[in-house]
Amino acid sequence: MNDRDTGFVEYFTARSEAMRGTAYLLCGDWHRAEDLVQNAFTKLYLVWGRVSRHEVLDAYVRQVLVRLYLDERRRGWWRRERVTSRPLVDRSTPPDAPANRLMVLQALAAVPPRQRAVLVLRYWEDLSIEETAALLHCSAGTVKSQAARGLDSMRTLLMASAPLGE
Amino acid sequence: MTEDEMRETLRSTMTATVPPPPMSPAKVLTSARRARLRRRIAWTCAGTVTVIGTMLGGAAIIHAPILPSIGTPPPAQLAAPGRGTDTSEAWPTGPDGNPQQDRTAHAGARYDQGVQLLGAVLAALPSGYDSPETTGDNGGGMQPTRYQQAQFEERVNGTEVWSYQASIAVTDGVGTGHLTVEVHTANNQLPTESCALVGQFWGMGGVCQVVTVGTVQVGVAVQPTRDGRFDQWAAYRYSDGVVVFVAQGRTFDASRPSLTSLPYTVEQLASLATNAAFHLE
Repeated sequence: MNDRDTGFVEYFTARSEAMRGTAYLLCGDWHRAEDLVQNAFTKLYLVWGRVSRHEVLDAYVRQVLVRLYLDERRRGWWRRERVTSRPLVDRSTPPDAPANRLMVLQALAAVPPRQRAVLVLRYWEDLSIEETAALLHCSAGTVKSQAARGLDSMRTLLMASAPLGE
Repeated sequence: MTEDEMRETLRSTMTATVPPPPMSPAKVLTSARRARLRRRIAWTCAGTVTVIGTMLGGAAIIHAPILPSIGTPPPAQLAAPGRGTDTSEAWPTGPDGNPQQDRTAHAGARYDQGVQLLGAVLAALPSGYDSPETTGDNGGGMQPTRYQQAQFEERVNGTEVWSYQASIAVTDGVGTGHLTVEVHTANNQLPTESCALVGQFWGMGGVCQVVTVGTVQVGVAVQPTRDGRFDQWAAYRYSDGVVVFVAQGRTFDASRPSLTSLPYTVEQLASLATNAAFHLE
């Protein structure tokens, strides 16, 4: 294995789990999450050497990941794959998983994609408003409004589903 | 639901989630290598390209092999008009007459312009600042203290668009920061509006301020971003379409103390972006 590959594998080993978690929150499915991560890291590999600082790598992969997710949504991948109108639920969820966790994932899956991306980037990745805006190529004001709407949606959805989950 | 509640909800949800086994680095590496191989094959195949071009009065089919030839213009006519993609275009012809192996020019006129830009950046350092001689290299994991690159970006309507980058460490004798100048040649597809242009630099956002320099306006991102790449950067588009980005940061790397203040004020940074020495073809 050459230096390029060694460095790439080291970075993948160090960061792929975190990226997969982010992807999982975005798409709600581990298999799709892994596909997104694999595609994002493949794109990184193609430009490996042009980006070398760790923080730059993280930002790059995160950006590719989110855009792949949004592109998939735009292309209608989810419309083809989803056979019901119910939010996508993780199929690997064990039967005894906490009901709250299921409710949260279902609610998150019901939030529109860009709002969900804002929620995940702001409150899971802890990116600032400006960083989120840069990643999504939108204004800070848009991020604020999307975040507010996303939080409202989550509140409404969780309140609506709470009696069913208990 | 408040922001803090949302954070806590996501944390507790992920904590309660049992992830599948870790992904295999070998599998991803294999996939990535294949992707790179596919791209290389695409570049190679692009050596003989069939272009269906609409010409005056009708359509013509042109078979145009890229032949090694020093001094001939790059085969811009082979590229599809408009913004191309990585895999659809042949690399420009290098000084040895063969297509480049990748985007970067390692010799020739384009490479020389990168070197020229580095010299211009060094010459523009403000009084009291210096740039240490380069140490380390790209492959060794250390950031070189002086670095330049000339890179093919795309073909737009048959014209090659290139970018040149020069990055240097900047020290005041105590702390070390960094300065980068990036130039995109005419016909680039970057925005025309000052702040939109600022927002395109390395995908970073930031609070934009428009600064008037003489008779022109320059966009400057004045607020630091959390990713720490740069603290401020300016963007200027010449009337002929050449775009210049100038970026400064307090911290060069973790091994050296940071600068306590940036080398340039906002106004100076904006002015630097209009430095004629950075205007490259």
